[in-house]
Amino acid sequence: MKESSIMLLHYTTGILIAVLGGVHLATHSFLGVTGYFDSLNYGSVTGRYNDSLFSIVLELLLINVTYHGLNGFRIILIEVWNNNKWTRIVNWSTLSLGVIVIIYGTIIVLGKYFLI
Amino acid sequence: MVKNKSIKLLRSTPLKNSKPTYVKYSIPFEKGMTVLDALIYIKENVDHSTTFRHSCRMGNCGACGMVINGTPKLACQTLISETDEIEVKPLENLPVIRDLVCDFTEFDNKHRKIKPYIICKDPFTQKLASEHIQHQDKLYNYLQFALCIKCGLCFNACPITSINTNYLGPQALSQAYRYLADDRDEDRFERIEIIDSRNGCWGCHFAESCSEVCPKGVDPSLGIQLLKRMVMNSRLRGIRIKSVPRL
Repeated sequence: MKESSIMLLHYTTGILIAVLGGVHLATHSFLGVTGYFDSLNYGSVTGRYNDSLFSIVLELLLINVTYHGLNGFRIILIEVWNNNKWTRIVNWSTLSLGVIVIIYGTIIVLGKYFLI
Repeated sequence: MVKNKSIKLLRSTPLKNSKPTYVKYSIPFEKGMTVLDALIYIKENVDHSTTFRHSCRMGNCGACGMVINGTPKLACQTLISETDEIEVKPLENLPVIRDLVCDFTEFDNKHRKIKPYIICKDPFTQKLASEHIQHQDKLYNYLQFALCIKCGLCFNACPITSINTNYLGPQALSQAYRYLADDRDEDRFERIEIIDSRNGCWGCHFAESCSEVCPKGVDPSLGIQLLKRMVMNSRLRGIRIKSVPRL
């Protein structure tokens, strides 16, 4: 993958994090709740997490944050030592870590729809 | 009465494994004297072994780039004031040959890498008997980047160049923009392939120190940011670049 494509995704995920994070916080604060304390009571929290739309937003947020964060970390690590072997190790390590985090997060967020 | 001024030079001969040491010289100060004048005075009257490059003495050739009081500057353009102490060092991101003379091979190779010339593929243009003239309006798209004198000051000031030896550097990248923004150039694909990497335009973190030190008023950091936009657009629209931003 070309660096420009990686950076294009990096910028896009950055914008999406702001949008989806806003939606996520707004859902917590304004959707079907009367106030701050109401939004944190057990019924509201479980109700929200069982809502499919909320789960989709959370899943998208997970993917975007993982990509954006790990790519930023990859860039920092590549600049620490600059040689091809280290770059390859960092690229594959961050890619593997990203896949693991997304799979694990997806099982938690969407697992209830697919697993018994 | 002639006032004396002291100037500290960092002298070394890496080929003979000598340790860099500061040597202090005293020179007679005259109003309007530049650091280059002082160095020439030292070479002619005090220590003939002092080594430095210089040529035009008016900021056009870029040969006398050095670190003066911690800032990369051209010695011929830096006046010695009456109060300042002067400390002169060679450029830092390049290997030193002797005293204030650096080896520009790596710098030149990076410049060469981005193909710093107009590539014509059109047979009609290739056979042109006259000059391949640029239209006045389009000249302003890249004019300031064409003023680069390759003095190496931006390369020396760049924090990324100091940690990543493979990074192309602000000079080469701003020159890449200069040729990509030129509508007479017909081989953008190859140049974009070279600069679209972590050691190319994406390595820049926009510290802007290159633009601060440029003696010709070129803004290499702007060039790199425009280059990023151009590369991104070329990926989004295919490799054909339809327009360049007007500066």
